[in-house]
Amino acid sequence: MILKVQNLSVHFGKLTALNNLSLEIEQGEILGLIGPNGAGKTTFFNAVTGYVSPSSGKVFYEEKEITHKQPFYLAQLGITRTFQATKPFKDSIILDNVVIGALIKTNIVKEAKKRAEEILNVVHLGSKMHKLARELTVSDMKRLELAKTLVTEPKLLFLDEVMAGLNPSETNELIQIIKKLNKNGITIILVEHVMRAVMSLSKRIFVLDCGEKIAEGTPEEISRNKLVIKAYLGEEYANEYAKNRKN
Amino acid sequence: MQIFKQNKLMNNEANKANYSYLPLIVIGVTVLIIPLFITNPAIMHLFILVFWFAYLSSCWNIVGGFSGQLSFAHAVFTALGAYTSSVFFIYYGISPWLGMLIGGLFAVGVSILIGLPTFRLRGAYFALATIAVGSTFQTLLTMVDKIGNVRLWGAQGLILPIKGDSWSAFQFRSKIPYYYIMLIMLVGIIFISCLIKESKMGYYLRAIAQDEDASKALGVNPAKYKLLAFIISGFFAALGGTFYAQLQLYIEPSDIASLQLAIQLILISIIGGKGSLTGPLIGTLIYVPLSELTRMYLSSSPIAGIDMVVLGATVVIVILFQPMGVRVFLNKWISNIFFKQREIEILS
Repeated sequence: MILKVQNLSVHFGKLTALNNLSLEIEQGEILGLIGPNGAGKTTFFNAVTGYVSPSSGKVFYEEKEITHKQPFYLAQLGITRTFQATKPFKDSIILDNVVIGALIKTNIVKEAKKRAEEILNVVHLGSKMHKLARELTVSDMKRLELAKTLVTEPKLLFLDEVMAGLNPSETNELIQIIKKLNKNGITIILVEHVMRAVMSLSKRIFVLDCGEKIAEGTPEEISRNKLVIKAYLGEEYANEYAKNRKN
Repeated sequence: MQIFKQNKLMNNEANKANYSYLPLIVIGVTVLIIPLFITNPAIMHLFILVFWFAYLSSCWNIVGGFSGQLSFAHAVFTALGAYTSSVFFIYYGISPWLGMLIGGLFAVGVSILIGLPTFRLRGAYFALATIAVGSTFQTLLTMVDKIGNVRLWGAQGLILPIKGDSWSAFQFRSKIPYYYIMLIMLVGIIFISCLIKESKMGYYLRAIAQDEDASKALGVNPAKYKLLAFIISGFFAALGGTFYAQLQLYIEPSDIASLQLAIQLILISIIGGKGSLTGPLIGTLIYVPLSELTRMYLSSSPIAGIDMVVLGATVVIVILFQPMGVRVFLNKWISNIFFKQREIEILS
């Protein structure tokens, strides 16, 4: 078990963003996290990766407690994340964006540059290395976001809506990249609204609504779950999914 | 040194790359031989002040430019340097050279004291906190007349005893030694800035300046690197303070510890291009003559304060048209005229 979350709650004043959530993730798994807007998905990411301090509950990474630890400390352990609103270093070139991540493993800039170039080729950004980050398209921006985190050599990766705003072919390309990463041993948790991506990538799906877990299971089970259909997927999607399965 | 570096896109044009060092050589030689031709001490004094501002603004740039933290507290460091070496010299007979180092170490201590609590704050709140620290320190220096047997003379300031030409007392009748000492200090701080900029620390500071949250996800500890930048910046700013005390042989809080000095250092870097190596130099060459001229010709005009209006307006215009500083204009201009290229970054 790579990550274990025990009774995690996050309160903002009187608002409960996350209520008593428990969750376990096996090494090498891809876990999908879905739910309507405001369900607490991003808050969950923030609480586990150290951006928000949880009000109660505990988080363990490889049997070690990491609750209330700072993000940079977690990144050094091998836990890192992307951001829903991509956060590139806009005034730096693509290469330097990734070099910053690569410096976690080395103190020598030259080595970091070499490593960054390798990763940029993996996400098909090699040819745009010397462009300023602010000049990138949405799709390239998402890939840069991924490259920045990959270069830190994570063992556990949190992907926050990396598919949002991509066209179908770009989405497919990214799905393939994520599958490859997972094969190379990275455990992945993804928040996603693009159902095609979630259903094809996840081994297990976890559904949140109003800060609480309402369902958990394989993509198949989730697509038939009455509660999930009511809270999030909608009748239409459920029917369509069932039809596609039969074909 | 990579001040004059070739943009990566241009690597294939190897024969042109050699020429990019030409401006550096020309400027270097000019600066070295200036004292041979200028005998007027007032003009030499102006040159020294230009170097001094460029030096201090380069110090500020390490924390304000590289890590993007708008510090208004830098006059605290210059005052600390100036007062420490002067007090040790006047009351204990310790050479200002040693006092300079002690002042630098005091600045390191104070930068940690200021940095630890204030670097938890972001953006404008950090700036406000440093303004508070700077003003408090100036007020303290103005109010405190005496600490034990050491008289600081409060608002009147300290006068250093004149010892004539003496290297050990860091005093010279001619301006030429001051000129070369300040030149060496300036080259030194640019060299150190260059080392920082090209190192891991430089990359981390740029990341922090642009997006602290994103940098944390990549393993950067912002508090640690900001503090490190602040310490280095404070140490060297204090050395600049000692130099000023030895140049003027008189220091007062309303001058060396003033918020105005701190703001000048910030404006210089912003006008030239903060976060770059040459920005503070270019900014000084624009700001210092401009502020001298407006003061000379406009301060006696019937409209009170018109000199400050002109100065302020110029700064606003520069920031409006090119927020990245005049450096960017110069880069375009030089690469167009001398290299017939658009992409070369001559002044990094």
